[in-house]
Amino acid sequence: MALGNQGPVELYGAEMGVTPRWMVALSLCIGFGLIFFLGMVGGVMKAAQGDIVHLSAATFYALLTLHGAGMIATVVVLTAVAHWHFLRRLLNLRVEVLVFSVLAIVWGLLAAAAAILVGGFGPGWTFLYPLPFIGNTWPVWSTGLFFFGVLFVGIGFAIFCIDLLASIIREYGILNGLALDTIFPGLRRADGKVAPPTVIAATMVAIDGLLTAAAGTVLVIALLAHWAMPAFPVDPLWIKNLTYFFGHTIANLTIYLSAGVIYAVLPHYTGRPWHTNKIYAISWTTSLLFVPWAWPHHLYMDFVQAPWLQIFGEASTYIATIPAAVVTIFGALLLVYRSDMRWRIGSTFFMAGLLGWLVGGVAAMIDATIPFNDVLHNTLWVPAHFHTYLLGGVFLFVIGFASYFAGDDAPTPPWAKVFEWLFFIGMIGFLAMFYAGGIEGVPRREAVQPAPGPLLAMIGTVFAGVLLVGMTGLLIEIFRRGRRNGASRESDAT
Amino acid sequence: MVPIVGKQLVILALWLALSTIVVVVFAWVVSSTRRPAPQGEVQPGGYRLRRLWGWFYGTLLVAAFLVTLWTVPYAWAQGSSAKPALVVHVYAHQFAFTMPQKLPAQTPIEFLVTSLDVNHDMGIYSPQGVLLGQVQAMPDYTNVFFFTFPAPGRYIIRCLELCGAGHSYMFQPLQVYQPASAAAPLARGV
Repeated sequence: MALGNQGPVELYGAEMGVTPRWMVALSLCIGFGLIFFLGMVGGVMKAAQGDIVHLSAATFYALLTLHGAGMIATVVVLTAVAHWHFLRRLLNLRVEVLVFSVLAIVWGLLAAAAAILVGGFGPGWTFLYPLPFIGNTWPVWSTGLFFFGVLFVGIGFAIFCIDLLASIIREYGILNGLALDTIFPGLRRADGKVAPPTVIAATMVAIDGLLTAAAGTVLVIALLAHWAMPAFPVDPLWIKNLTYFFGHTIANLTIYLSAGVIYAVLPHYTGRPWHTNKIYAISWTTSLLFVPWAWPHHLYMDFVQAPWLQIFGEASTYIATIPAAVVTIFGALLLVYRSDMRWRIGSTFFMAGLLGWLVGGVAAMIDATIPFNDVLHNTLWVPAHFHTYLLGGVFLFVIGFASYFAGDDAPTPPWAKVFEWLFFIGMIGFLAMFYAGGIEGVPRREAVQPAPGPLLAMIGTVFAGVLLVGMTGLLIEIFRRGRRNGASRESDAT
Repeated sequence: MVPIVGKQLVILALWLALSTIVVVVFAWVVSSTRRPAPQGEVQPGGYRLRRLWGWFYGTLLVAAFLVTLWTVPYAWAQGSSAKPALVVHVYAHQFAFTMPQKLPAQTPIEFLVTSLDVNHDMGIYSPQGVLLGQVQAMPDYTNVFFFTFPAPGRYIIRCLELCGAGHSYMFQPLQVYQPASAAAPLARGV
């Protein structure tokens, strides 16, 4: 029973408000600048592991912390802004709130970067207690500054989620924001208006995002209290659980923010609307309930953890994949199947991103299976799957969105196609070296790796270089189009 | 290169097989756009396929979940087979493991693993360099980890959790010997 449609964005009309394109464009430019810089940092780390350049261990771990924390915060901003671009039309969102939210995250990122680059703070972006306090290679102030930075990232994301949730409640109500009115007729509005898939995704992200931000706030405040008063007791197991609740879920939510973008953009390229129906309501309610419970799969090797939590963590991880595999990705494939698809940079990257989401998801599920985790945990298999998910999934959606936003009506010129190929070849080779290292048992997060880590890192560095060249060329093409087309094909000037 | 055997071989085969299926499906969908058809023509069949896929995928997950319940490495899941012949205390600290340097092969060992400072992870690598198992070492807590070394040889105990600037160098050899009588291994704490 199809009750609501997600059509091409042009179908919505302008009465719901307009997108302040400068904010989206500015965020994209800042975000891509950060991605490029942090990607270079990643490349330098890879080169150091491959014995191509020399870094001290302290510098390596500081850069590792910068790369991880920076990439997560940047991808949160990029996916949030891309989703917001479509939601503003549907929910009358205020640009001032987005500006405030992005500023808080960027400020937090700058504070964390100062702690890392000036202070040498380097316990990794998951900063497992008590390492930040016993690192011995960074000053005490850098620990506090980093935590303040994380706090601001959490606050910025919380502001974004609160504004989203408040607007959804005003426009639809929480239950109808999840399209539960397609299941329970008593909830139906008099005007028959049903939330489109982009709004359903936003409802899930807003609620789970607030839970995540709350966990992050409790975590960071506890650590700041311990930093200010070392006698303040902190339990390592509780803190570890909170750390992964916050860290895993906020990283995971970027794909759900991306899903909201996919729902809006694919109809544009295929010329087919995306329907809201019962399946979507059930699917996103399932995601809402189970995505926040997947974090225990990071603690399988903590055998002291409560057994029910270990088992529930695996079950939740499995269940959380069902909506993605059966509804969103299958739905996207069904939308594209035998459509008159316009193959542009945007549509190509969205399809490739869906592929990366699935391939990385399969690797993640294998890792989240307890009997396999004891030979995969903290090996290069972990960065293999999350790089597939974030670089080969979320980041491709962001590039796809940027291309769509800049104006994607003209076919891709041959020189840009060369950069497309370079990007994909570099990315696949780069990721393959991670997988090879994981299966060979090479530990992650090591400045100096055992064999065959250095050989794989050396090859991975070459592929990372190819990837960065491809990315640079593509971004230049997208930027060129953006300038030519006035930043948006929809001409949605403020 | 380290030989790809045991669980690692199963994992690699599983991931490659499933990823190949995904790539083939995507290639098929992409190539179908050369033969466009109205949405109303393809959608009903797609919805039927989705229903089948949903049931198949759900059943697969339930089966995988149930199988894993019997194969988790935790003491509560291993029943009587978890009875150790030897109890070994392991104290991890920046940047070494305080533990015996020699242990018997083919002897069920109960490792009691904790940390004296930050989080560490005790990874056990075979003489061929294959990662056989691991357990976290956390301050204030003791993780109980059952492990049986399959054969004598020079194993490596390596830290698998970022624990500070010397993390890369936190590994040490462990000599595993053939016990004089495999049928009557030592039953004492070390």
